[in-house]
Amino acid sequence: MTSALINVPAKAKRGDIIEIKTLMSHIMETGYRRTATGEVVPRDIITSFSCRYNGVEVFRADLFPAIAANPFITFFTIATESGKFEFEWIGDKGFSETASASIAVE
Amino acid sequence: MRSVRTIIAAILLIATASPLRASEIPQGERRSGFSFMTPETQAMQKDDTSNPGMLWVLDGETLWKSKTDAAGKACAACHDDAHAGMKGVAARYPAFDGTLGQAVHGARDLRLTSRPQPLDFTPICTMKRRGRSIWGLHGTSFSTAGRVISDFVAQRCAAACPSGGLEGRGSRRG
Repeated sequence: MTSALINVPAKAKRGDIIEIKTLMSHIMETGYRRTATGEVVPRDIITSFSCRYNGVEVFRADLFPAIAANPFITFFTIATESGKFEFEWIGDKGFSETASASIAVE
Repeated sequence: MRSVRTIIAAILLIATASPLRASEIPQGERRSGFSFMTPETQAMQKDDTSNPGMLWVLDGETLWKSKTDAAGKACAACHDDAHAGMKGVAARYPAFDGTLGQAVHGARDLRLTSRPQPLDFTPICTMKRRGRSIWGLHGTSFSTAGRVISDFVAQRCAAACPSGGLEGRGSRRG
């Protein structure tokens, strides 16, 4: 089951610096671990995360095997206009998840 | 002799002190540990998105609505919206049935499945509701004789609470 938690302020004043928090459910298997029988556990991680604010990309991150399970990504942006934040996580084994949140700017 | 007297005095002291310790805080003055926290800590605790545990709550919300059961029924089929219907229920589980000598984990053991579920700690009945999250565990420790026992419990449950649902009888027995 895949689930994401997003925290975007419901409203903000124009020009405010707002904090956005995201938490994605993912095992983030490094690919360096082995099973009891010695076989390598295949890598299964999220490789990239991006956030678009009304279609414009405001944040992007590449993720690597050293990042722990359930990556918590938080960043800041400036509230310019009312609209929608769209989040996208892409990873190994065809992993692709999206989420969105809206903000009202006064 | 002197030491005996000291011991008696000590016993008396304990005996008189214990009622004091046992006296309860009046209902009106009881408050959550949350109110003792600093505003910063309270803000941190209120922020669900910083708490990875809330991912399982989301999973629970999905499970609540999905028909995962062999009987083709979702939890929501009987209990409706968990935000309203399951408030405070989890605090009474797992209930211990004195007669059976068994822990009764929830309705899932009793009415939904044809076979007892293995005990797992999937918080299936979790619902996100700040300050009153419900973390019900499903599954059961019923052994091979579990089927018989669970049928028996189901009958008792139905008799004790005609409206159905263990929530009604709640409190611990035995």
